Amino acid sequence: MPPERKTYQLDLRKNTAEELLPILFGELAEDKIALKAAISDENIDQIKSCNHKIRGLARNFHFDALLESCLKIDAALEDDFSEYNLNSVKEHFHFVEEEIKKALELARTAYDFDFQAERLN
Amino acid sequence: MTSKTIRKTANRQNLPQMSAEIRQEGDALSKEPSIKKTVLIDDSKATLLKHAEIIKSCLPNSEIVSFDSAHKAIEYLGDPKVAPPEIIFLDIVMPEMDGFQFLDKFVNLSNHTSDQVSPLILLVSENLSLTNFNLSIGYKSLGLNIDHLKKPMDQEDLSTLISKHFQ
Repeated sequence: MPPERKTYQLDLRKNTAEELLPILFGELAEDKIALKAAISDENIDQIKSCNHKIRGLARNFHFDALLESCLKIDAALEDDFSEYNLNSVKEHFHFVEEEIKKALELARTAYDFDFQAERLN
Repeated sequence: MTSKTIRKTANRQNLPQMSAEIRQEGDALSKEPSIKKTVLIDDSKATLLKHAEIIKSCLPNSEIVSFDSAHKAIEYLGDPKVAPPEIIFLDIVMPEMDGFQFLDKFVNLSNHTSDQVSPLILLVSENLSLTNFNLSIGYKSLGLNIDHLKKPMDQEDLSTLISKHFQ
């Protein structure tokens, strides 16, 4: 049975949301692309740096499920960087991608928010 | 920070008591911290916007100046024509110049080393590691007024810290 995924909280005033959400999802999209490239290059420092940025946004905006996936990437990188750990990072990166998409959907529904999401797909 | 509203109808019996309550209320308001300017430093623009909202709710009269890099903030704070802030919110992990590299530069700013009182510098981080905690103690010994605020920032924690340092 797959683990239960936590829900999201995003409590913003309407005018704040209009200004903030495009910036937030723009940053998440850029960080996600950078993380994907770092994993592909097997660049551990870059993976840590990109994961830190996504984790920070997840924590600040209460995207709990996304935060959980980022923490699992951190945990996989704690020991030596083996092929096993890289596979684990790749697996959790898949969840990171999914959770960012879910967060975007939540924002669209809650705030009637439009964002060109090609980079998030 | 916000004062409670006194909702009573005055009459002969309660007038002296109400006058005393109003005086107390006035005293409390006059004790609200005078924080004219806060500087916010974080490499995420989304985080800057969210934190600015929280700060505005605690300090509605304070001007908030935001920087997405520590370099830009140092340039601003080093300008002798710029009035110094009372509080600096400083992210620790940032590219190019991190929070502690910022502090290295900040202690050497000529307008900081003059007679002015050091602003309160709030290190904003998910967890302050033992290494970073020890580093922050080192900066305190150089005369910086440093405290720590946990991410995600919330209004209650911020109000508590402001009360601790400014009242």
